[in-house]
Amino acid sequence: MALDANRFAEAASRALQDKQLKAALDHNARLADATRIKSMAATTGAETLRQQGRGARLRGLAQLPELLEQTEEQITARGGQVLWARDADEANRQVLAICQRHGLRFGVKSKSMVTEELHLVPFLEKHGVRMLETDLGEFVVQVDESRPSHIVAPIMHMKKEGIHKLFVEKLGMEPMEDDIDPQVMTRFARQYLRRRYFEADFGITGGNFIIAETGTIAITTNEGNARLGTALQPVHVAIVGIEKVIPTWEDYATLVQTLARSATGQQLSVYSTLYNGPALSEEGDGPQHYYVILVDNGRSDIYGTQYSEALACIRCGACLNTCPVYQNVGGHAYGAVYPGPIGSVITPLLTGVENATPLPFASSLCGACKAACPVDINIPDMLLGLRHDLQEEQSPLWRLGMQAWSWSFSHPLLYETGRKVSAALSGAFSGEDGKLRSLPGPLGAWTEHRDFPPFPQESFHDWWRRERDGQSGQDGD
Amino acid sequence: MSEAREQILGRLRDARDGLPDAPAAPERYQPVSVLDDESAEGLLSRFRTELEGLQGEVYVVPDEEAALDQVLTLLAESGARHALTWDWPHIPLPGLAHALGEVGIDTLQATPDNREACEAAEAGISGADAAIAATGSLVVSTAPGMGRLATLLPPQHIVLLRQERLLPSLEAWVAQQRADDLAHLGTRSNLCIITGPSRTADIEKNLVLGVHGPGRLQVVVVEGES
Repeated sequence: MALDANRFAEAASRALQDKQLKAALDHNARLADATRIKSMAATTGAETLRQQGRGARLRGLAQLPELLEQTEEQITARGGQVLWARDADEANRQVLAICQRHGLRFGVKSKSMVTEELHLVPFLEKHGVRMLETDLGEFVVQVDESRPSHIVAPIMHMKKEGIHKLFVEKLGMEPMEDDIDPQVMTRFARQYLRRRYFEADFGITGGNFIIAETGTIAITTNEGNARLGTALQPVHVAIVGIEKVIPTWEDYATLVQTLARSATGQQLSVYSTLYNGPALSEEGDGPQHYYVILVDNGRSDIYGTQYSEALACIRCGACLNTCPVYQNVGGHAYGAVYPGPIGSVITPLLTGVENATPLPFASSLCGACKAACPVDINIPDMLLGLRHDLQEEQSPLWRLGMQAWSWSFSHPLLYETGRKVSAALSGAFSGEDGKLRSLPGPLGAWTEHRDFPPFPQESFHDWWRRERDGQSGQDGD
Repeated sequence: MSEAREQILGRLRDARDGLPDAPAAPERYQPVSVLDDESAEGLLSRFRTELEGLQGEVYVVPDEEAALDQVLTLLAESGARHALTWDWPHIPLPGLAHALGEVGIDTLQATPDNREACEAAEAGISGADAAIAATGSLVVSTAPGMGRLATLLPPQHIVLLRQERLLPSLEAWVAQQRADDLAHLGTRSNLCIITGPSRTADIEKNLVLGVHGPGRLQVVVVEGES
């Protein structure tokens, strides 16, 4: 399934017709949103913690070059190796070079958004290195040969019946006769994957945070897959975006908890794993070789611009779960590695605005995303900024229309006349409920994917004049 | 130094003027959750409530003899015959090796060459650096004789914990490390804060335990001072 964010409207329309997707999202996204709200409310003060977490991320960004150097120094001192990658191709080639140096043929991978962004797995497989996703959701996605639809819960778009069918058909699981039991399917996946953990000769992980003062890579999982995928195998490669740095362990203590609460409503994820370096020589398990790849891939282009704040994102997924657009169209419609509100900001910034023109408009600017964000990122403001940047990308007709609209708004007489004409004509284009579904000519671009409310026969101006006059008569003032 | 490194750092340094202002680090960080009662009993009671809420199990015993009995009972209940353990000096329960041997339970420690034998173990036995009451968590760190696999590979994980190692919050644990100048952290290749049994809710938000790590997490707390 190719990614194409420019086909958002088409993909969203299709998603809206998909009853199974609707059922899955109604259940999963809304439940996740409610769980987050409850969990943050149970803290010592959600707003203070939000600002505390935000401060940690902003300090990380403010001192980014120095903190990255500190990180490198710390990791190197413990016998790890730090590599720097300017773009996806450079990062992928570095992983491949590590595989070739150590003769690695088969890797287990835990969930990581940056590796999705790099398209690392297809790259490695093309070069003869087999990769297996070990997070249950990502494993299902890999077997399905599809894409994750959420940055925390990759199979939020799926119902258990679909997963059952997949496991039976592709992996030869014994079909379940009556009720489909997620427990049985999970046990099946555990056994299937367990064998392969032992066969693998390296593990790949992402990183949720880099704690600069000790050069520690922090990863959170609930399943234990990242920890197991770096305990049995001789080589561990951690691939992390350069923006993930935070200065101190105190910052980590705040963020690892608000991350868990915002993502899944837990107080902490089950395994908050912290990597300092390769195993010491007398240790009985753990990797002998430890590599950290620091990936730029467009981040330094965002750094220092009006969109810098987007780099503070901790990838909890709360803005997806709470977004009325995401709740209805799901993650795939965005045609991007990072879906949802934060995705609509970072996708255009990372891939180029021309490759994601509809995404800044895939929002009602209701502000729910900002309210949900554990580091208070002003997503609506940045979406507006991107819309402004995109003016040049829009059709001249659209721009002309918007200019005319703006001009008529500042000329009351013209505005009223226009409204009266529109009201008189709107009957000709409205559906049974009065809504306008297909406007003529260039106006049709609006109604192609949206309804337009009917023009009222009486305007607010008229109503106001009538009421004001009536009132003054009755009250005598 | 690599060209990529210099270029990335150079680009960041050139662009940093446009960044939003960052607030100074707080003098005192607000903890995410606090305990009403930080007495020894308060910590234990909260730890138990939190971990049991995650379907972990907590057994509080008055002394080492009772702790030995408790471990044997847990192993008898699960029917485990092979236990993957930390090296004995790192498990705060003298006499455990002997007690397990007496009831015929095979024990082994992980080495780079005995992976298959480790996989056959039905139970793992370890200690812990610390436990965190507010979240029901255990902190484990690696060192020679204190491996990852005993806490991870077998379906049943038994943790021996001295009550004095209970701390109120994650923030308190970080403060303890800070007081030590982060020296302890610096000597460990890996740490893990374990909060409950391994779990997933990927399939329609249904909770399933024991995905890749242990589905049963049993903490035996030995009361009093050591």
